[in-house]
Amino acid sequence: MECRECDSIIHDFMRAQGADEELRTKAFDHIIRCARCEARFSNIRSLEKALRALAETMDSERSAAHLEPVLRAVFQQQKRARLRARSFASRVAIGMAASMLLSIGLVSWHPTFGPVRKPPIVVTPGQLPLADASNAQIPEPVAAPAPETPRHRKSRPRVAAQSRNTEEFVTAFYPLPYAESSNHTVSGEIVRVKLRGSALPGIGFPMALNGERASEQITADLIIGENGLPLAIRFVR
Amino acid sequence: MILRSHLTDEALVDLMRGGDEEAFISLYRRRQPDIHRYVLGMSNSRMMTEDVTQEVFVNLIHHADRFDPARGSVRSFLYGIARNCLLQHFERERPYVPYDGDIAENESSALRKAWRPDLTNPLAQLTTAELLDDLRQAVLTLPLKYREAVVLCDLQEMDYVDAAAVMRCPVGTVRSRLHRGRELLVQKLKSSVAAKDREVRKRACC
Repeated sequence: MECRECDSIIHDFMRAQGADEELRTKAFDHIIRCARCEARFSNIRSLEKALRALAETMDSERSAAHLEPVLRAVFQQQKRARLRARSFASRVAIGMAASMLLSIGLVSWHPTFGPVRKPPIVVTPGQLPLADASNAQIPEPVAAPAPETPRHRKSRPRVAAQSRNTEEFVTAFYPLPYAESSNHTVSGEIVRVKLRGSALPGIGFPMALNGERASEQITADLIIGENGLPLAIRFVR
Repeated sequence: MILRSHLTDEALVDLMRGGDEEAFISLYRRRQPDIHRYVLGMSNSRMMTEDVTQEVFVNLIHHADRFDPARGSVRSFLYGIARNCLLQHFERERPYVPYDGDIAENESSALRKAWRPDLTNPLAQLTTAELLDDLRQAVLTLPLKYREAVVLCDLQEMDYVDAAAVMRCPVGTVRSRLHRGRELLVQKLKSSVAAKDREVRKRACC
């Protein structure tokens, strides 16, 4: 072993992890033979001993006992703060959960927020008999409350919501030329429309409004058949 | 009842996270001497040592959740906090530690008179109280990176792996810094011993 090699491990002699046993033996052999390395080794041993003695001196200087009450106080303060934060967080969580439940309940209860389902409506003569179109009174609809069946309420949720606020008057259904008048039954979906009075002949209604009323907006319910043609109409006010 | 003195550091940290004050105090009593010695070795200032020791444990109270056993021991975690606090203190105060290699005239005169340098091994007498003070001053004049290695590995007797975790550098770097720090210490102390030798000879002549 050379001096340079010895120098690289000379500090690790006293450390178990520093150098392996074989290397240590080689270095020790070199130190015995080399005066320079022997002096160096001796100095380092002295330094290590002195550093150990210094560490022992410093051990006797621990004087932080008075810190203990201060740290206890800080710990208690922190503990209280954590408890406060935890209870605040749990209150916030409960509030959020309650508001979520409330909003879910509101959405499911309120029909306008619910899913709109429009099942096809079958209008039978027993339920809604078709009237004679020649007797239709468009300007003055029959003052009768709309026949509300559970099916109607489901199919026309907006009308149902509206009827809670304002009463609605409807006429009977009048057949249009596209309907098969032989059996007096129509089936299809009810669609609410607004149209000008002058447009009534366009959908096959045998009367037209003239003069000022020609431009008047008329609200009506149309029964649209499966082929997309209007089969019957009723007027709404 | 839990005998906290028998619990590991990690178990104590777990308990203190749950609000167990006695677990914290047990950990403090167990680890405070290490931290105190480390900070004192690095700063040689009693005031700074107490400040930093307090900061370390207050920090532990506030940030115990940051301790991750997978990343190292509680001891290394505390040393890491102490190191950060120390560096902040050094940055704030930038202390100047004088070292002229001479011992003040009024100090340890009895030891001085009794002391005779051994020329074959000039550092052989280093364990005397007087020279220990020299050694302490010499450690303080080391550049920070070497001082840290000497304090952790020699004064704290920490192994290279733990020291590397505290110093946040590879094990090889710790080793080379320690060796370099020791070489510097030997040089400083040799010059100190030589100065003392000259002084003794001068007095003998007079």
